[in-house]
Amino acid sequence: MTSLRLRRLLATPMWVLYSLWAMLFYQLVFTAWTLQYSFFGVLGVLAASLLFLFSYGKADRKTIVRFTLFSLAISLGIPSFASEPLVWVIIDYILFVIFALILGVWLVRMPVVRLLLVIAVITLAELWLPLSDMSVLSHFGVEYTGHLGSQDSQIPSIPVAAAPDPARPGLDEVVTLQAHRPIKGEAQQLVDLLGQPGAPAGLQDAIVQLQHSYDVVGVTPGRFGFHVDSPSMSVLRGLPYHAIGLVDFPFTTSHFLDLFGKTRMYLSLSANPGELLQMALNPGHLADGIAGVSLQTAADEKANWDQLTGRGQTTVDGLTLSRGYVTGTYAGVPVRVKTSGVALFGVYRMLPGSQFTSPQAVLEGNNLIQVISLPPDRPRVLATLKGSFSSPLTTDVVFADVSGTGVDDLLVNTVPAQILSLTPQLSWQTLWVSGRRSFRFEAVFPRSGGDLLVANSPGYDSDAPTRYLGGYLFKSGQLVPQFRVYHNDLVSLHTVHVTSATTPELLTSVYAHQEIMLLKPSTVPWLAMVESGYVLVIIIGWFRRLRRGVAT
Amino acid sequence: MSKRWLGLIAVLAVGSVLTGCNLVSDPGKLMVVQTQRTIDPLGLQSVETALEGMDSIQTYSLKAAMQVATGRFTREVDFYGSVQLPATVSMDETIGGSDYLVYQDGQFAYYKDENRWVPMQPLTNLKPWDSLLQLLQSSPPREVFQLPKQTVVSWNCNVYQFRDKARAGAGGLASTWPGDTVRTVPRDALYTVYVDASDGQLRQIQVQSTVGIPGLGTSSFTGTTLMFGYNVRVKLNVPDDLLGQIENP
Repeated sequence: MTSLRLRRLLATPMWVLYSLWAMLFYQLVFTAWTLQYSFFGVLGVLAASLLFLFSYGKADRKTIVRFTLFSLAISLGIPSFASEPLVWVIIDYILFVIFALILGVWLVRMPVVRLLLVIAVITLAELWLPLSDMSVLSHFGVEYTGHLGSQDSQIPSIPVAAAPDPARPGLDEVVTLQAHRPIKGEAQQLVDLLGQPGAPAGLQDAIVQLQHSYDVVGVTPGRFGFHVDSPSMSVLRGLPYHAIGLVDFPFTTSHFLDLFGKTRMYLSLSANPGELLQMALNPGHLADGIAGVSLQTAADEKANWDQLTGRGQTTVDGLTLSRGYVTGTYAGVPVRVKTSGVALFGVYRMLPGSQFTSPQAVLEGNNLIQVISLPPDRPRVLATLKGSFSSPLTTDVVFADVSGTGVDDLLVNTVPAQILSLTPQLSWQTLWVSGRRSFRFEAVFPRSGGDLLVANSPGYDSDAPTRYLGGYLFKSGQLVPQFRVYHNDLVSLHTVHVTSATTPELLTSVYAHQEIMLLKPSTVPWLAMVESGYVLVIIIGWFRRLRRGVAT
Repeated sequence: MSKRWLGLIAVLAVGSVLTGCNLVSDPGKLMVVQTQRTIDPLGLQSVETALEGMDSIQTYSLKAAMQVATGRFTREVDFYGSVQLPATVSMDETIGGSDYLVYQDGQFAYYKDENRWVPMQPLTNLKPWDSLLQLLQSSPPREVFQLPKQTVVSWNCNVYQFRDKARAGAGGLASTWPGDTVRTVPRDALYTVYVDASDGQLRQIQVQSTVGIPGLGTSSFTGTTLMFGYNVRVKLNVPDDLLGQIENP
């Protein structure tokens, strides 16, 4: 085979590969620069673009610039109709391809087959991972994406949780929601059930809300992809009532019921619009009114969840919290300590082992956090951290061993977020305070030498509060970035072990996209690859330019 | 230096730029949260005067929000509409991304859920300033603070802040709760009142408090009620579709 024939044969695959690179480089590098560095990022993009432009001689420049713009236009155009109903997606896609080919032939002046291949490959890439989620590739691989599939706006972000999977010890099952698709005759089936003894409570409302109800589903990895099925009751029993409830809390109430062996959820308003308006019109009663609605909604959801799953009092390491006392047995010794807490976070090593033999119980009360010692140390309240009305201490707290000493610190998402450490003198020490109001801690990847703190953090040189995912290590009083993912809608992040017992994964819901994602630290260095691609493209340009003479 | 090394250095440089710079601790931001405020011996009197001065109001418009932060999420209900005293209301409401309407004329009270109007209990006290005045008179705060002046919409306002009971008068929704929850209901709330510095009129009331929810933890909330368009004539007619629904059910 002659060199010319080989070059002709390789030309199309190389251009297709280039179009994929251009799409990824734009998403992972240019977008990242502008989001992180704002105006300076735009200057960086301009500089990198100019370097790219002038790496090629005049003859090549025209083709490569036009082809790059064509590739980017295709990659950005496809998502514009991806969320439409399937019929419209097909119609729009056919029209899009026709117009894209006309534009491509006129602008880029390349063979139609080559342009068609580029469109096909970019389409496949975006089917594999939508463009809006492509930014996660800078650090993660996407193991699973799931969609709510609902036209309702009442669930802005899909509740997502992970519970131990009894069938796979040491691994988790993802529990989430999917829109329920009523089947023919289902309403009649439910009406028939209504008349039978032992019909589930709330069935009548569930019939009314049939079009707006959700199936509770469990997601587990299988041999070929992930299985979506109804989770067993033992899996659901492992979750507290607020794990997948509390949608728009406290203004809506989640109701769960078991229908034909599957768990169904529907929502109702906790108070009607008139009652809420009555509260707003009476500021002198407002605090009490909202507290009442919040407590009622939580109590209703808990009673409903407990009835469904048979889950009783929450027990953590043998400890329960009831009527102002932490009770139970720890290390074989009975515990009973009076507390202001209303929720038990868990048992954490908050103080060095040299000072206290056992780890401590951590609880949250009304705008406070309490640390209680456990046997064999004398059980008592060791320390209390209080919030204020303007900077309240909600349950928005993450525990992490930031220094790698085996002692946990509190990562508190007050405004601003802080890292607090309990000193051996039992006082609270602030280790770090965020300089940005919108910064928030999300999850922790355990790591020897200091946990990796996963946070949503705003851009470095921008006043905008928009947050992007980042991984940080706490070193010398600073958070040292380890990775950044410029995806601004990742909420409800959990560290889980769904596919691997050793490598921690990140389970997240995508706000306003009715989507969940399971992310695993990537084994493919996408970011380094596209960055290397840029260097390669520049080198190729200069090589061709020098070979033909700099002026051409 | 070979091209290969140059390439590697370039990749590393771009990589480090992408991850950004270290985030240093900024304890000063904690101080900013604790807004500068001073005790105003005449603060209570100023607030009461502003509230009592609202007696002459016959109509007003309202923009309000109730924001509740629980766990990792903050949820909000928004209100926008007009009130004609003593008992006429027309209000848009957004709850969880869904829009609702409230219409009331005396005892004729409905809210609209999706496409259907549903009868509701008529709203009783339509004067936001009344409940606050009742609170101040039944339980005067120990201290009233003055915060730096703030511009609300376009009004330059004196800002007064005080801590007081979570409910005007005795009893309350939450105080009827059994068992565990009795301990967790908010006893106090932080009230911030914005009074127009030029004419002494009440402009905005903000209420902040927290509640401990059993098994869940602290839920914090902020309610903000902005009033404007005082005594501006507005026609609050019965919505046509409500009349249509009643006449042709």
